[in-house]
Amino acid sequence: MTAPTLHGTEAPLRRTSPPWTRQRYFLVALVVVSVVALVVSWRYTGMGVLPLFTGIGHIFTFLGHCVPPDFYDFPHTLDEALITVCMAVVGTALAAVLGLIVGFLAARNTTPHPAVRWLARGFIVLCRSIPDLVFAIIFVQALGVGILPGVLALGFHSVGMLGKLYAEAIEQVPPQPRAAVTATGAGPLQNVMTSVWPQVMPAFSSITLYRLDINLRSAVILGYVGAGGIGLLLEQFMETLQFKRAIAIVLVMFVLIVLMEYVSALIRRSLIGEDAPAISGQPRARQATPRLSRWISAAIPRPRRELVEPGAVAQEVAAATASAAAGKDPTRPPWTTERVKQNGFALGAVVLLILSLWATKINPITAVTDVRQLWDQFVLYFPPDFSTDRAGLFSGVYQTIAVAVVATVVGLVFAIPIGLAASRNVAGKWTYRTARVFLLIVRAVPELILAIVFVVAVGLGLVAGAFALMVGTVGFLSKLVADNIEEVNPQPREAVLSAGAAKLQETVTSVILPSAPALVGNSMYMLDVNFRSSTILGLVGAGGLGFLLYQANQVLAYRTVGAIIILTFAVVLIIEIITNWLRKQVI
Amino acid sequence: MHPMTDEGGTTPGPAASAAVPGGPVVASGTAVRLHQVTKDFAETRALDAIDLTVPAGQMLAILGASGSGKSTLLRTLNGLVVPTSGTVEVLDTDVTKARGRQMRQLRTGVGFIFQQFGLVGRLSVMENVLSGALGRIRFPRAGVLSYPRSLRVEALGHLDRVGLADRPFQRSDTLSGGQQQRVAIARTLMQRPTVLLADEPVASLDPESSAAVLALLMEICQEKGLTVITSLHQVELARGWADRLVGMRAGRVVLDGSPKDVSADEVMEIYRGVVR
Repeated sequence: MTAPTLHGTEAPLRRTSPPWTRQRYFLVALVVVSVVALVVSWRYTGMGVLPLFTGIGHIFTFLGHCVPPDFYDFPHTLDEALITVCMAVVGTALAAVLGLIVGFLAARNTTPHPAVRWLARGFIVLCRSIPDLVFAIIFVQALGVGILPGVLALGFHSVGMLGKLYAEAIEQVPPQPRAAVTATGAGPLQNVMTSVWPQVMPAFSSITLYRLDINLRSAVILGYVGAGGIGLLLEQFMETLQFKRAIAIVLVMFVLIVLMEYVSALIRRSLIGEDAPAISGQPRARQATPRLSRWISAAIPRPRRELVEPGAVAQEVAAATASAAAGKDPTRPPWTTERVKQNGFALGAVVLLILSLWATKINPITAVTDVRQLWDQFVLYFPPDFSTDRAGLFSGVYQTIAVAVVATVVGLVFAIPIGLAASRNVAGKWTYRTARVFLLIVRAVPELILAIVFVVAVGLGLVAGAFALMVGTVGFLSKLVADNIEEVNPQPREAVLSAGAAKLQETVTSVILPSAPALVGNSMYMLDVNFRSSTILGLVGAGGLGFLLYQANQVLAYRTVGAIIILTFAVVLIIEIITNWLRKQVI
Repeated sequence: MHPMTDEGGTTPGPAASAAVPGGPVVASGTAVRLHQVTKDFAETRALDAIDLTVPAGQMLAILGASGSGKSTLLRTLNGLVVPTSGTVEVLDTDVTKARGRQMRQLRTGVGFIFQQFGLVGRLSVMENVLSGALGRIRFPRAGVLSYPRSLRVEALGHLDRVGLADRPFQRSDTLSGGQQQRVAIARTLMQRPTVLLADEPVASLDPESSAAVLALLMEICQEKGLTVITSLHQVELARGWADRLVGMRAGRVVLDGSPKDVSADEVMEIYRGVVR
């Protein structure tokens, strides 16, 4: 076939629609599979919007019992809240140390041997796949009620995330400086400390602070199963139906979580704000200096830089060498604002850790002895018993997966518009601020608390778990969507607007479509996270594997607990492998 | 073979003489010897039966189009690339057999300057220069957390020599390309090398900076009597500085001679792919 051209001759007809690439097939297949999975899971869990509306009355009745909040024995509540913060700090520190070791062993470019790499990666996956609450149940069983089980639970579970992200950060280090340092004859440790550590340090700090945020939320919840802190108080008040006191605890938790998020964001920006990746190679617009940085900057006089003739410094050096009594050492770096800030925060972190250890009364030396008791508990889970309630176990797996699917897909539908509203570069100022405050509030309420509220509304079962997880997904995924959208390259947007496109056209073509691959990746990650969260929600009666685990643990059926943990691990691993594969196909 | 003399060289400035112990290098014998060196990357033959001998103190420039094997050849000389077959001897050490401590010892004596500088951007200029001394410091001060004062003084001296003594504590990634390459040169000097390898050392710089940086590098090498093997794209710069030109094409040496004996047309034919 041919077509007329401007010059009157005829040219072969070319296709005007994009070809059906492998990636396009996968994308369409993924949408179809998601819709089918949603329909099947929706029916399997017995979801419906109606029960929620009819249950709203129950929620209001429940809230009626909760107000006004009763801040009974507030100093004690505050003590317990501080213990919870300390538990999160020590748990994160433990995870950071373990994560650092396994991260270096698991990174392709720093591992001493491929076999070591796979072992380290296996350990990371194992830690990630067992939810912290499950770890806490095991540790409380072995070590008794207290802070140490909570710290260990947070520490071991967090290694799963920290080790993975540390390893990824190490693998992204540009190879040229390493080759250059290797070429000087440096040994392996020298090489890592000189050419890898300085480059990954900002990423490590950022990831660890982010994990501290997450761990504070988790530390609150871990108290619920006996790991001490403010969560234990909450559990006691809920058990004895003292809802006014319980809601006071929830409010304290909320303030604590918001405060921690603010402080960690402040520190992150102060330490590494200028090292965040630039958008599409463009220099990043300098962020407004956080108030804390401005205080520090104002407190420290800036050193004057003077241009020096070649040779002059060396004369100074020679003079300094000759005179040992010289007070100033030109070979030592000056105390610049940057250096004071970095050293100050590092020192602050160490002091905070020591104070936390002191407050939680954890002695690292005796803790090692306590940990030996874990082995005695561990052997009780083996051999795992899959046979006593085989049907129940597998039904638990299906239920947990179904809840995760419903929460992820429905959560995604809400997350896209909310994420757009929370993007500085798309929404207006007030829409942006309102959406961000909304997200902060939603994210500050732990999912377990949401689950309790939904259990009150729609009764025990999967529906309550699915709703709770859905709200959590909206909070988390909307923020990821907003962050992705804010990183979209502004130049194509200007080009589309210059071509006369309307605002909606411009948003769809140059904002939503370019960030679609990241959205798919984040949704996959969310499904993975939601399966684990879904297990946790079962503990408060929201069905699935978690509910079975709680029941088996209550009746001391340890071998069944072992079977549930192995099933959880296996399903998380399978979901992770599938989602990773899908991500690679689509992105 | 390359005894050390004063690092300040023939025209020591006050900085150099104060900063650096030892003395200029006097060259003698053979610094580098390659015998039938071949390197295959999957289906691509990067080096094809290379035979090359470089006397100590010689300044050799390797010319050739991109992908002709120049970088691979340089990297085999300090063990960053292991040849598929053949032997590589540098400073009387068989590089293909050296492992662990022996390899690190060899690398300490062989400086390497990279096209992309290879600086750790977040570290200060001083820290980057000091990393050149890592191969010669051992426990308890292994350079992992801090460096002895004597090394810091020496590093300042080298920075003075490359004209960056006024900014030792500036972050390296805030410098211009030419300044970064000067830091890389100072780092190499910190190794107190006997042989210097440079892989397109000025390819990432503008013409003005290229000439200045190459002039600085070659002056320092002449002062210290180093054996230099550098790959270059700038034919005129190579003809101006080198004692010997080696042309490469498709992993083979296709031209070898003194700049006086090799005409500009002969050199350009390497790039055209027509070699007599």
